Amino acid sequence: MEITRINELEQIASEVRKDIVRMVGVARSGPLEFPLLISDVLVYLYWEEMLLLAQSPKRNDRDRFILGTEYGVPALYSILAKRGYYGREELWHYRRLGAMLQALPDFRRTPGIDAPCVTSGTELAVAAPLAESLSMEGLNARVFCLMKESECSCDDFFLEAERCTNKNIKNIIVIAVYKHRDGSDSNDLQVKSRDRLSGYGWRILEMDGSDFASMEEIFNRLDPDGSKPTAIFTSIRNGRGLSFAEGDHTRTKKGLSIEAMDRALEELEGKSNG
Amino acid sequence: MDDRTKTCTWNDFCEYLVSFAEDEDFILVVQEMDIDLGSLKDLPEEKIFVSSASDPNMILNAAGLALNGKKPWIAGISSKILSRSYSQIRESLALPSLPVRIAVPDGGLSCGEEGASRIMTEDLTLMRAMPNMSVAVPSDRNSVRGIADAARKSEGPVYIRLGQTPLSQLNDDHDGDFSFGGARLLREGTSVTVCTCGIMGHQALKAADILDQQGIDIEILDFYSLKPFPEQALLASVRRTGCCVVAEEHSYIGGLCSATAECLCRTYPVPVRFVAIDDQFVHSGTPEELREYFGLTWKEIVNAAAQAWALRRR
Repeated sequence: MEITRINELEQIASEVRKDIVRMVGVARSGPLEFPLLISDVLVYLYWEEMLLLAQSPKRNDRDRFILGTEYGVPALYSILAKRGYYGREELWHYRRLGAMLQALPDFRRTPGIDAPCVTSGTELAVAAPLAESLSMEGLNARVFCLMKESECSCDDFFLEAERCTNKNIKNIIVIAVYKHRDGSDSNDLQVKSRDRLSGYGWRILEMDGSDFASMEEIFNRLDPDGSKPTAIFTSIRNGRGLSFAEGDHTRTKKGLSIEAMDRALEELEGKSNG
Repeated sequence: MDDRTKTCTWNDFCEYLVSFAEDEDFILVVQEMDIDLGSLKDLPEEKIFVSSASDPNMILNAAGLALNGKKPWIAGISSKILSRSYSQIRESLALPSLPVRIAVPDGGLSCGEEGASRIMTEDLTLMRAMPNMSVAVPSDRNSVRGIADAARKSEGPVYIRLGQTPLSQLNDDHDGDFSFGGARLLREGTSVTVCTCGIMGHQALKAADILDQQGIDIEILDFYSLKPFPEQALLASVRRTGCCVVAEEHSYIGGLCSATAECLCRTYPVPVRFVAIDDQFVHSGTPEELREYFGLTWKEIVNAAAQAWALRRR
C-alpha cells in the first residue's frame, strides 16, 4: 500500500475517532474505549476490503458486516456516516428518543446495518447461516463478523464454528479483536481458542489492527474464492484509545463530561498531528 | 368421532408443511435428534437446516437466514426454545421483527410424562408479552392449516403452540379463514361465553351438552389467535351473555385468561371464571391424568359456567 493511501486512511480513522468522542460526549452515554480501538479495522474494511455501495445499501451481492459486540456500536455508526450511508448530523442524536441511531443498531431503520446486534449468544450463529444462504444463492458476497476475542471462547461459538466446517461455509471471516499485551504475544486462552478453531479446519491469521499495511497484507492473503472459514486474530496496540478511558468499562453509563470530551479531542488531535 | 380419525396438531402441522414445502422457498431449522419430525423427515435435505447442538444458536441461525430474505420455520422442544433461548428470541427475532415461525410440538400437558422441567405452562405468557410476536394455538386440523397459512404470510415472528394429544376435527361452520386477530365460533349460545384455545375447545363442547340439560346454553369461542387478541369477537359475545368462562391448558397468568380479563376489565366488566392451571409447576404423569389432576376437563367447565351464569350481569 502506498504511503499516501496509508496517510489518507489514517486521516479518515482519526476523523472517525473524533466523531466517536463527539457522539458519545453529546449523548452523555455510550461505550468509548472499544469503538476507538476498532476504528482502524473498520476503516480498512469499509474503505479497502468490503464490496459495497452506500447508495444501494440493500444490494444483494454486497459484502455483509456484522458487529458481534454492543461495545463497538459508536464506531460502526461513525464509519457508516463517514461512508455516506446517512448524514453526519445523525451522530449527534445517538441514543436520543426517536433517533435513527439507537443504542443498539436498529436493523430496520439504519441504512448500512446488515444484522441486529445480539448481546446474548454468539453473533457467529447469525453470520454463518447468512453466509451459507448467500453462497447457496450463488453470490460471492462475504460475511465479516467482528467480535471481541473474549467472545470467541464460549461453547456456543465453537459449536457454530464446527458447523461452519461441516457445512463447508467458506465465505465467513471472523475478526477477533484483542488489546495487545506487553511481554507476551498471547495468553493461554488465546492459544486454546486458536488451536481449537484450527482443529476444526479454520484458517487462522493474525494481524496488527492498528497498522494499515499489516491489514492489507493479511486481507490480501484471503483467498478470493475462499477455501475454508477464516478467523483473523487482531491485536490493537496500546495508545489507540484515550489515555484516561483505557480499561474504564463504567464509562458506558457515565458518558463524557464536556471537559473530558474537550480533553479527549485534544488528545486525538495531538495524535493525528504527530 | 371414531378415535382412529383423531390426529394430533403436531402431525397435522408436519403434514401440511410438507404439502407446500417442495414448491416454495421453504426452510426448517431444527436440531439433530431433538424432536420427532414426523412426515417432515421426508423433506429434501436442502429444506432442512440442522443447527449445532445449542438452543440459542438454533434461534440465531434462523435469524441469520431471515436476514437474507428467507422465512424460516423453527421446530423444537418448548422448554429448550423458550426458556433457554428467550433472550435470543427477544433480541434477534422479535426486536428486529424478522419473519421466523417457531412451532413447538409439546405444548401444554401433551408430553406430561416428561415432567415439570419439560412442561411449559407459561409459554403463552412469555410469547404474548414479547412485542412484535404473534401467538397462535390451533385446536384441530383445520385450524392448524389456517394458522400455518397465516404464518406463511406473516412478516413478523410467530409462535405456534402444537400438541401430541389426538383430537377430532371440531364441527364448525368456519369458512377457513384463520388470520391473526380472529376467533372462531364453535357453538352458538345465549347464557355464558366460554373462551377456549387448543384442546379446551373440545372439552367445552362436551360441557355444553351437560349444561344444556341444566338450561344453560353456552356460547363457545375458539381463540386460536391469542395475539393479536380478537377483542371484538369476545365483546360481541359477552355483551349478549353477561358473563364469561375462560378455559386453557396453561397457567392462568398471562395466557388466554389474562388476555380475556384485560379486555373485559377495560371495556365491559362482567363476572369471569377461569379453568386453567394454578400458579404452580406440574408433575409428571400421562396427559389425561394431569388434566384430571389440574382440573382441565369438561367437569370444571360445567362448574365454572354454572357459577358465572349465577353471577352474570343482568
